[in-house]
Amino acid sequence: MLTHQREHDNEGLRQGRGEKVRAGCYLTGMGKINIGLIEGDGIGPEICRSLVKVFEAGRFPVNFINLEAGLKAIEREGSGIGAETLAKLRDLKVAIKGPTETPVGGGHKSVNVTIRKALDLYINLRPVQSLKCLETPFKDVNLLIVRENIEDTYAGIEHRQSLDVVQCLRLITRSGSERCHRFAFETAKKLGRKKVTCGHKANIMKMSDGLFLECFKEEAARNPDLPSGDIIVDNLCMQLVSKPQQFDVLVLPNLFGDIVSDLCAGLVGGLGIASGANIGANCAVFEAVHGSAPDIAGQNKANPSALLFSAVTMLQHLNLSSEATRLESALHKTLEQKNTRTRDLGGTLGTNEFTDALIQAIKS
Amino acid sequence: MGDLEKSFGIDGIDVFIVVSDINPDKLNKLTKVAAGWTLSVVSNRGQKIFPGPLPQINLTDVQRCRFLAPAADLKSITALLTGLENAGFSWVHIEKLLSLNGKPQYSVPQGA
Repeated sequence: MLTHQREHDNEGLRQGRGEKVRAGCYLTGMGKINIGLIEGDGIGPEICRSLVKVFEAGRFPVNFINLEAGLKAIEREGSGIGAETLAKLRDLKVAIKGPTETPVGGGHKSVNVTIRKALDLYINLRPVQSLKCLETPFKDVNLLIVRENIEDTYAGIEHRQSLDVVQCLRLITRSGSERCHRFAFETAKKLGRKKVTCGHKANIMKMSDGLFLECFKEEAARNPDLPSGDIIVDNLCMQLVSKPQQFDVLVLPNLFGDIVSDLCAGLVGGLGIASGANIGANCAVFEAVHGSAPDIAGQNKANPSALLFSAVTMLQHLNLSSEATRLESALHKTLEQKNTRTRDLGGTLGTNEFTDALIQAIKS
Repeated sequence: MGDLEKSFGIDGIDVFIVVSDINPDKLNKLTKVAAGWTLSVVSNRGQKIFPGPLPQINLTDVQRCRFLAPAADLKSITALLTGLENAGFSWVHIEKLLSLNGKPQYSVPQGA
């Protein structure tokens, strides 16, 4: 068993390199960071194998700790993710996961929603960037969607009122909105972004979205050096499919954020390459946004790019910026060449062969 | 009998109470506010906070308390709300928990 120590200070020091890693993460005796790895279902295990192989080959200072969630967890303990796994996630503070399935019927809750709620991961972060390998109507798209991840209609509070009427309660809180906007502005500044825009429908939902917008303007006033603005969400959608390059960082309440982040993924090629992060005050879980694709599982066809792009965001989160840059550059370089792409992107490589090509790019 | 009662059974009510700094003592107090009622679950922004240990999440000051009772009616609901106020809890909103042919017509909190 590897010995490890927890960083107690606000800044941790990784052995031998003098770089600062995110506070609170476990370091192994070899100076590696322990990260939870949930393989998930369908193509999840094979794209996670690709991730592990890339990290090993690139000598990234990460030690993956396998955790179970998804269909196997349902078989074993009746729940998509068990209390013990959630406790381990909380303890490790950072994890990355493959796609998990939620069986229809049987009352099973979504693993993703369970993780977000139980660990209070109040931000869903979706980077959206044009890739040269994908022909889309839009070039030079480089957006960052910050979506509030806990409240809004996703509190799931529904009641039937009559045979005709069902009600869903939409909760917007000052505390939830404030920390969402604080994160958006802090992240924008950390990443050198140029503008933060709030999408909302406060003209109709004057109190709930009105509160979300009010909190945004307060945070904007605290950050006068960073340009900001707001836009009604339907106009935002129209502008995004007309001229997405006018936007930079978008911050939205949960429901609109869910819709707009998938819309933005469509601008640059779809969910197959979309990465995401769920971030809280003490824990973060990174994931590929696409589904488990059971129809191609185990056939060496899956494209691991989305999970690997998520790993880039994870490395940035861990303040391992040189590793993040190496991996991101290698991904772009590998995807640029048609002969080193997977089949879904017009190439001919299987999962394993793409992984090997990516490793070559990292090493070079 | 009103139109609602002709079509639905009533399993109980969700009462939304305003409590800052919810803690195990206050939750325990909620279980005893009215005879004949069972506090089934308390949730905060849709996440279960009772029964079980208080989760390590950001809690707002509105708690949804699900009280169940067989054949809840105006008299028993009034007794429950009175019991809450007498115990020092401020309620702000209630929703009846309807069932149709024995099937609940209300959602379950996350974690419950």
